[in-house]
Amino acid sequence: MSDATHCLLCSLGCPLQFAGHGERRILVEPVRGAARGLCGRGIGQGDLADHPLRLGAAWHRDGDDVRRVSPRQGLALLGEVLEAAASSGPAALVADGNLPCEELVILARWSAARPGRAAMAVHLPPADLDALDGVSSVAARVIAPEDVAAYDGVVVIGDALATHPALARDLLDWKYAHRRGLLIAVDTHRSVTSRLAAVALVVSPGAHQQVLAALQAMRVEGAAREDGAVSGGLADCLASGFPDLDGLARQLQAVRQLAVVVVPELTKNGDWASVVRAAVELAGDQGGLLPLYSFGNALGAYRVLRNLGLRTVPELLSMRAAWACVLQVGCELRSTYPAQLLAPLFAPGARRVSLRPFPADSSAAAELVLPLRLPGEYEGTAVDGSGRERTLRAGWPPAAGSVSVATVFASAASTASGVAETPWRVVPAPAPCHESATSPMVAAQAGAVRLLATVGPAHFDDGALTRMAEWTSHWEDHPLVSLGPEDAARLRVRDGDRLELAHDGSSLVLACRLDTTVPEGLALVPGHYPAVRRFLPWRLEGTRLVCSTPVVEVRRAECLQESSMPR
Amino acid sequence: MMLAERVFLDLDRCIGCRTCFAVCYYSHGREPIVHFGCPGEVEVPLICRQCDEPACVEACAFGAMHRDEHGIVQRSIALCRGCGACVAACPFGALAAQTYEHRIAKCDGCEDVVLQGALPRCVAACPAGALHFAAEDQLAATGLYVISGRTVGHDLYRRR
Repeated sequence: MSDATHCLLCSLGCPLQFAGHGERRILVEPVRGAARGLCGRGIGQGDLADHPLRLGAAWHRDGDDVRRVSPRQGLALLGEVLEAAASSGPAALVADGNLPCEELVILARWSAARPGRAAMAVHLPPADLDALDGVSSVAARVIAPEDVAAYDGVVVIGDALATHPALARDLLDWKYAHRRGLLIAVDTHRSVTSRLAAVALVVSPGAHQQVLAALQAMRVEGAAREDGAVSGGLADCLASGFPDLDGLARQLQAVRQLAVVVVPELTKNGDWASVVRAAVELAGDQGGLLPLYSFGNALGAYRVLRNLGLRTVPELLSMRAAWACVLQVGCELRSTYPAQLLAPLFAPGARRVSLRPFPADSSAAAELVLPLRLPGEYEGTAVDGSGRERTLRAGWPPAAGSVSVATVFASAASTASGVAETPWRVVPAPAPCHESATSPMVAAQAGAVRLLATVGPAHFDDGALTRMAEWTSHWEDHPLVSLGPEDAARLRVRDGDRLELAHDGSSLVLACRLDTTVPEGLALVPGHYPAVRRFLPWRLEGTRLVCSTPVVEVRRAECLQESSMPR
Repeated sequence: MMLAERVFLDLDRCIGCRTCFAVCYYSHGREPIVHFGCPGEVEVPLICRQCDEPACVEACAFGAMHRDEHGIVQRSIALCRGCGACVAACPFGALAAQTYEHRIAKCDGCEDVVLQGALPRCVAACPAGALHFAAEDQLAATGLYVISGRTVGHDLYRRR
């Protein structure tokens, strides 16, 4: 076993290694001489290996009786549960899209061996899935982060340096090597990436396509025509003004090769496929597209999903079948989506089995929980965002008692035939373009703001995994809602106040932080907390899951500062 | 003996991701050694400058803060009483008192790996390439310059 592997906590796939494990204390470091560094969430993975909450045995629930059983007994119980459920209806299998490709194929074989009795879905973050559909539907030249060096202009859609910190070295190397190069950041607020860009364009959530189309027009047609239509087109879709649009148009025209980086983030847009298509248009024939997904194996899982005809989670939800059993392998949908959205899957009476490295609130309701390996312990293949295969090796010895997908499902899947061996190596057929479903641009009203979920450099997906790493508690151990000074004055709230956010009968109470980088009418909240994710208005649109920015009523729940002051 | 190489921060590259904190935290017994300050829009790490004339050593009444044979300012766990005099004396806010453990977390320059020719862990891990481990004269070649000369030792911050 080698001690070097690749990080799966974003699609950059940085090499990492573990540096000793005295008494099983794991220290994760970047591979010396071969890496561009490693972000904090990658380093924090070492903390998860021996976490006290990590599942080290299987748990079986029989009514109110919950008992710990050995992994061998757990596997036997899994067979019993599946056999018993098979007589009463089909089984739904939901696999995490960050599992190695080989393990996804094993699960697909398991499902294929049960025609009509099992359906398998691959869970990918909806924004990742949307962007992958977009990349699949166009003939884009997909580039790697280090390829950016060859371009003389870069447009970054989203806060790439917060979501993918390991991109920073390539992007900043480019910035300081190309003193005359044009770096444009397009984001919904003044984000980390915007601060380092030469041109920062602030857009309303959902308006990325229009901004990219306006930039494309400026690139083709140059500075404003006499009627001002070209630069005026851009001005119309910016949330805050930009002082020199004509100068920007001239700079854009001078760019020969343009690289466009797209970071599909949860609520910033409801149609990332269209954003990707607009980005490819802007890049042009000579340009390149660098999509950055939040799952390390998003592209590999997408290829397995499409090439083997598997389902996405929204497709599974729209089947409306009477599931007798629901198996979740590596993911916990109820930490990510609201219960009412998942109601078709988790109907009363459906038997639940969960394979996870850590317990979750909802796994307490599972009949059987099996301890799964962590991403740093996976073995197999992942495909990074640029299409390069990454060999995964166990970066450190897997914890005693933990099981791999191969252990649990391989023998049961061996009878299936007709499932391709390496579907992740085949580029799937272009995904059909779906109807554009951009979130409605509803203006915030008095006492209300639009709520936007952001992604930071410490957490991954819903944060269930990365929040286990102790270092994050020194930084941020609870979510805060960030408001700009104009809205704070309008809503009469101060730094530290507790605010109640409400929409459509749901409410969430968070402390407030004043932040001058937040534009008027918008509130930012970290999107990696289950409570926040469940508060967001997810909806099923056909076979897509869309999460838009809700307009939330803001009320002051209590004022900590005032309560401690004499009246 | 004085240090030839020190850790410097390129302010124009720091993205405030706190990777330096994470790698330092896990490799130094889970002590929060790296602190953060906000001189501009982004919170940046406050890392020990290993001053030529360290105020923390002068301020320590118990001999806990000292310069070792390799030139690194160290803290002796055995001698530290957690009085906080070094915290107050440090002009750069690079030390903070650990009130529960009655001792002061202090950067040891990753001496264990640096003496073997490797980079300090925060420098090796920095995904933005913002932290440099270099001698003063080597930095000049990179186009970085000191933005403030107000130190008793060496200024951490560099700008392009």
